[in-house]
Amino acid sequence: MRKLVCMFMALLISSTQLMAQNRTIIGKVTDEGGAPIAGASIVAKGYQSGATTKVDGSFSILVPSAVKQLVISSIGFQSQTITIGASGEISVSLKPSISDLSDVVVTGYSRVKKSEYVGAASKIDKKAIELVPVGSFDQILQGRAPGLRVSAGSGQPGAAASVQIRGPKSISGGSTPLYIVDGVPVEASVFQSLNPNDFENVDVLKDASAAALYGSRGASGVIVVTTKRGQKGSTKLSYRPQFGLTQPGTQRFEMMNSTELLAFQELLGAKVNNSLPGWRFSRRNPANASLSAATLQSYDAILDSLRNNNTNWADVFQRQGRFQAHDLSLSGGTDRTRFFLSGSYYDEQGIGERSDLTRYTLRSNIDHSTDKLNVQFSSTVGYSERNFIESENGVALANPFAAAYLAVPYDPLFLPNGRVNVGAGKVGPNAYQRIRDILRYNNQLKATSSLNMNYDFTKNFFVGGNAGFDFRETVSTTNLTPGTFTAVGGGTPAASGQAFPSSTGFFSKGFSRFFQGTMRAFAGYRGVFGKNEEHKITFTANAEQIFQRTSSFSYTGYGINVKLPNTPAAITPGTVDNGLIPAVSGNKSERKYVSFFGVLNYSFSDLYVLDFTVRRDGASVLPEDNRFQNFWAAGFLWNTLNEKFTKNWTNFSTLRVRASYGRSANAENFPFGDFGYFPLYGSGSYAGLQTLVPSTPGNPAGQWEYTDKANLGIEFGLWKERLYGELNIYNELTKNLFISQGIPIENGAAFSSAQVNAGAMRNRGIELTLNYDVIRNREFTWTLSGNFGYNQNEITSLGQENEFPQGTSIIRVGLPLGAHYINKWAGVDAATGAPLYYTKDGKVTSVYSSADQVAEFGTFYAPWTGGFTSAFRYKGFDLSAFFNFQAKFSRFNNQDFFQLNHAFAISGYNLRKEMLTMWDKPGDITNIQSPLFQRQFSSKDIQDASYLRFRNLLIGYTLPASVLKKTKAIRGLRFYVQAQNLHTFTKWSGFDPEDNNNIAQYEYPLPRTYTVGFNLDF
Amino acid sequence: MHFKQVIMKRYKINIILAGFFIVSIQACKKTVDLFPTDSINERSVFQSVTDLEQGLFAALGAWPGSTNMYVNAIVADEVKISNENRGQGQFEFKWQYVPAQGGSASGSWSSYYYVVGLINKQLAQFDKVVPTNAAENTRKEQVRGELLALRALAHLNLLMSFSGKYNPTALGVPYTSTSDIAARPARQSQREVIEGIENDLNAAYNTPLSNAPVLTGSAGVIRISKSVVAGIRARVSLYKGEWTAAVAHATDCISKSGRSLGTGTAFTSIWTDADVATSSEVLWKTRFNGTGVGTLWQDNNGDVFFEPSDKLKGLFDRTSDIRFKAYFLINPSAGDTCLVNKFFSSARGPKIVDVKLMRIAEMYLIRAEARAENNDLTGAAADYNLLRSSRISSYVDETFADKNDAISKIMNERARELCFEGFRFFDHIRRGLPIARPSSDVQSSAWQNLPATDYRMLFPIPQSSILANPNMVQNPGYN
Repeated sequence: MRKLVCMFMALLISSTQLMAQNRTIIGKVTDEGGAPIAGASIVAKGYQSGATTKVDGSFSILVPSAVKQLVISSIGFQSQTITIGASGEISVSLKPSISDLSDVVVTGYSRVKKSEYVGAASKIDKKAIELVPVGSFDQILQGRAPGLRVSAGSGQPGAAASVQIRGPKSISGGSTPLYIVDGVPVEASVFQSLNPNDFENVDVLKDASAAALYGSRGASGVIVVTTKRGQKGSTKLSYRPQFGLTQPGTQRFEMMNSTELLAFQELLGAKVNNSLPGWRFSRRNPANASLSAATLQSYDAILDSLRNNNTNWADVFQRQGRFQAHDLSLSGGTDRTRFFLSGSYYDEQGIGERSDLTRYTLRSNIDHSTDKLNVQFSSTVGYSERNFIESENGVALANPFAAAYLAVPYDPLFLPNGRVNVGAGKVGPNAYQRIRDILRYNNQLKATSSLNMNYDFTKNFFVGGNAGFDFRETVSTTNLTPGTFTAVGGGTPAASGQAFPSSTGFFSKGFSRFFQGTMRAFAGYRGVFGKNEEHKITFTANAEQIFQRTSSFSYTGYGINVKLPNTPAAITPGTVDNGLIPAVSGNKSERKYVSFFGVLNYSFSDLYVLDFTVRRDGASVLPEDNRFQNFWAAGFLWNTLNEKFTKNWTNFSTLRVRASYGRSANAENFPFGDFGYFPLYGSGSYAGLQTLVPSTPGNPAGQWEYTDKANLGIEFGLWKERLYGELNIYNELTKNLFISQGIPIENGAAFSSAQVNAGAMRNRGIELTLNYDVIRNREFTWTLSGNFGYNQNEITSLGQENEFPQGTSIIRVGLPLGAHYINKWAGVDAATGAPLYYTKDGKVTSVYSSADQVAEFGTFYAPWTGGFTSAFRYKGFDLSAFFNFQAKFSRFNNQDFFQLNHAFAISGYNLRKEMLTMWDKPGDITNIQSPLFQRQFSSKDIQDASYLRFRNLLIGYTLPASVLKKTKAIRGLRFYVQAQNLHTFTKWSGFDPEDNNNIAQYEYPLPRTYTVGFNLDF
Repeated sequence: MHFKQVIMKRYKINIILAGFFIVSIQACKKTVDLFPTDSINERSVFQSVTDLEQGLFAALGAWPGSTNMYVNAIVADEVKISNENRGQGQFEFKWQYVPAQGGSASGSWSSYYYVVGLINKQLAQFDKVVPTNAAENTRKEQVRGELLALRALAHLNLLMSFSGKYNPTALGVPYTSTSDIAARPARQSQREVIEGIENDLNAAYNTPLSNAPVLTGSAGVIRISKSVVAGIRARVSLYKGEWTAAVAHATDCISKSGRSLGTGTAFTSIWTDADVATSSEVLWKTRFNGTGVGTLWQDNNGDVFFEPSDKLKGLFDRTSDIRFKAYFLINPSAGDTCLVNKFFSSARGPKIVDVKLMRIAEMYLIRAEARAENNDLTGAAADYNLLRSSRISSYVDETFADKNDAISKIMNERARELCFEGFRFFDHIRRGLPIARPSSDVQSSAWQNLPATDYRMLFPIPQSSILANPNMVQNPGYN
């Protein structure tokens, strides 16, 4: 990447017409071992002439005679400044650069050297992204950058994660960052059709100077993806296959087996009469007292046979999945034109039956440059297919991860005749039949293209533009086979609103389309002034237009012909007589932005950099009076080591101080809808008749949610960057937060709430990145690197209100967003078995009252996040172990509410083993209440979800170049094995502590994945 | 010369750039001026009589008939909690209303005022629509009549839920006849609310509504006819204890409807929506399509939340009263457990059954009660016997010993005939009766008796309204 930039700059510089009195300098650039470095850039210091080295490392450059020094740089090496001797001949050996972090920051609008960048940005290198066996690239970012909180909501292959930068920025809306790929914005959270192996690196922009650049859309941070590009030189072919398997993790709880469950049912029956077999056939059941001995014996036999059935439902619904991925890329180019072409195939089977992701992608990136023109074309097309489990993340019996634990073990899966043992209350078999007889899948087509152009009119003036789009169409299909238990009745309708016709089976397709187009034109000026050329100014003026269009359409047809599975051709046309009227629905919407912005960058002697951004955004989503808004930022960088007084600070190799302040808004997560400011009516339906219903109360004063961001950072390198680090502190105040303000419905306005800009929130925190080379020599290196972030979130105002309780959570001034709010559990009364709670004033009570809810149980947004890596390299071997963690957060374990709840045993579900310690008689000391009392939501079910996860272990071996040279064809060969999600350290007792919300509801857990693979380069 | 060219070039660039920006800024203001395609701006939503009818259908569809039916049953004595109940409706059954969390008891406040809001928003724009001919004018005025009648009934039900037994000076509810998002209305006296109700009903009665129920396609009697307006008037009179007026309005309703009590399958088919809409005794109902209203009692997995109470079942003559089998599904093998059958199934699917909002039977019961109160025991017995003879095989007419005997028998008949139709709790309210459940219908004696004077005989006003409306006063006992 840096090479590209260097070449780009060199090209710019070489285009300058020079004056007389030139001389030619020749030389050679090598690495520390004396091997030639090709493509290194040679720049005359203070002038704008430059050259690059040839394959043998040699160069020749024509410079004005006034030039005293040359700056030599190359990707992967530290740049050096060499004073030109009298001979005009130079030989340089470059030292390898320690950290790629000292590279270039890609802002999406420009590329800035880290040494000139005023903002807080973290770079995630391709090494962390490539070949990770995870289908959605946002999940891969987990633990890779400080202040970036990534939580996978699901282990279903291809599922997107929830991503937050420096804490939440909205109460009603989301806080998802803006994603930019090669200069164009792409849809967030839809990455199943993108190939992360195409990514060169990812820049995470966090502070005001980045946010203001994006104006109304930057407040939640920006994630800028730069894809791989061809390099000048011989054509390279690379093939990278990977094979493996996915496995369910280990559960930290145990369900009852048949014997235990039947015994529990008996225990329960003695307290609460029920019709469960363990009680119904029990000799202790008074209802059986008068039965004959023969009947009682037959009852015993029934219980015996039930005890002998021990279906392990977790095994029925979970599996070991297969994994394979293949990547093929071709790259190369000439001075003027370079290309990168790639194709990939990705196939991951989930750990749940009927869940997988298959993806095909193609990419072509082409660069063309002349003396004055620079063009980048990037394009990718991806197609993916995903099969889904049902009711994912839902407390529903159709969710196999719920059925796996709620199904009773004494139910066999199959009847003796081989059929699935479906029927009313047969939780396991019913869910199993749904997996077999219902299809749920989606197909997605995604295409993202961009064209970036820059033209230098003169050495000072340049113009350019970019245009691009992101297109995605997802087609979701559900097919229910008629004749199945689900279809025939008994089971819930497969989707809400589906009525009787679904007993005849149905076939349903939903099309949803997203299109985002971007156009930008810019003109700029760059110049150098002053006696010693100490003043450097760059200014660009930009005009940008973005439009987003979304639409969806779906149909459901009934009366499925069983001979035609999985096709709309199986639908019976609906008539009044057969009642099989297909359901059809759809919608569309649109939003647009127009923006003008200017960026001024001034640098003085490489010592100080000042950066100003002003942006004016117009957005269709705001009411006319508020439509155009201004955003701005100012940033400052101090390259401390260039000061005279630091001359003797020889231990330091890098020392920079940064500060920035500015304003931006959160348009991408705007909670107000595309037309929220209009009072609107929508079309509805009643009794088959069209109706007109008010849909939004409107708010003619609707405004952006603003975030004012301040950042102070220090970047340091010690002992020739052996220790490198960056420390940032920030304070972000978000104002104008939309909150749903209560409206008394009795005023006849037909709304009980309206969205108004009234809240405020603060995020402040500290972030640290550290990289330390413990051992660094030719044969052996050991590097420790880590990043840590702490974010303190606090709601500072809610307008007229002080708090909004929302079920088991509360939004309250003084608390962080996501605070739990529930009655505090005080144990079980040993005398009565009654559940006890604390009142608001700390007294123990057996009365459960919502008036005693308290918010003492923390938040589900983890304040502490981070990751660390230990990487070894010995000769050709390398090993890296990557861990990530989130700490000091808690979540509601709703699964405990179901599985430690006698009422669910009565409803015919299995429970956890602990239930056998249920309170039975006075004096019993237990944490499981008597079944005579209703099980309530309480803090008993809130658990510390802090976790440390051994996220990735990678062991590789690279064949030495000397061996490969003999093949004359193979340039590189590397073998590796890796394991993803190897182990999790946590106190959490649910499936997976990591999730994107406050409550555990049988989410699809993350798999453990093992793969082997190799990289073969020609 | 080199220099000059550069200068010229710079000027050109600057001019081009400046021009570019000016043009684009002008163009862009329009670019971001978008209008919704899937929604309609409030200002232009009602432009034709058809639009008005669509607004009416929204109000009819939003009518909380099922909430009314559900709350009246569980708060009073029509049901008992089933073993499979996982918490559904238990707070209401146990009279532990939680104003902060809504629930169906407090929830009816929002549901009825939502309908009132729909109506008032529409009425505010009503006269923007200019009918093009006399027929259109009739349709428009019919819509107005139906909206007014709905608004009146919403307020009547609100009074019974949140204000209690008729007492003109008692604190009522806001009578809301406007739509103002900034308004924070206070509770008015019952007298003022009743005035509002009666004004609306008088206005509705004077619109050109058709006398008899009108069928709307296959959905049937989902709209309001003049007979229904008369029926609502009868309910208001009954609530106020104006017996003569109640007799007159009930009679008016019966005669305007042109319908008579059903017998045999004409009656039992009502509960599977298989009745003949043109002759059925159902005068008005809410259509359920797709949504299984019966899942309030038993979900689609077969889990029963509430079953009919022993008290209710005990009121019936199981062998000769056809209502018993029509209203309940008994499972003899599992003790005397049974299911609510009024919302069990229809041709549209399991649990998908219309909620009947007014039947002619109610009018006979209102008239019987009012006549008894007026000491017209013969007239009362005539209505009472007419209803019973159409429900009970080999029925022998009864006579009333005195007024008390008549009232007690008629109230029992109401309990039988109108169970699960949203009357039971309101009957307790308007007659000032305590709720009394037999011990077999409750798990705890705490849920057995609710004295007529207990504060829980009134539902709490939802916390959301208390918080959002500084002028709102909570019912006693809930602060």
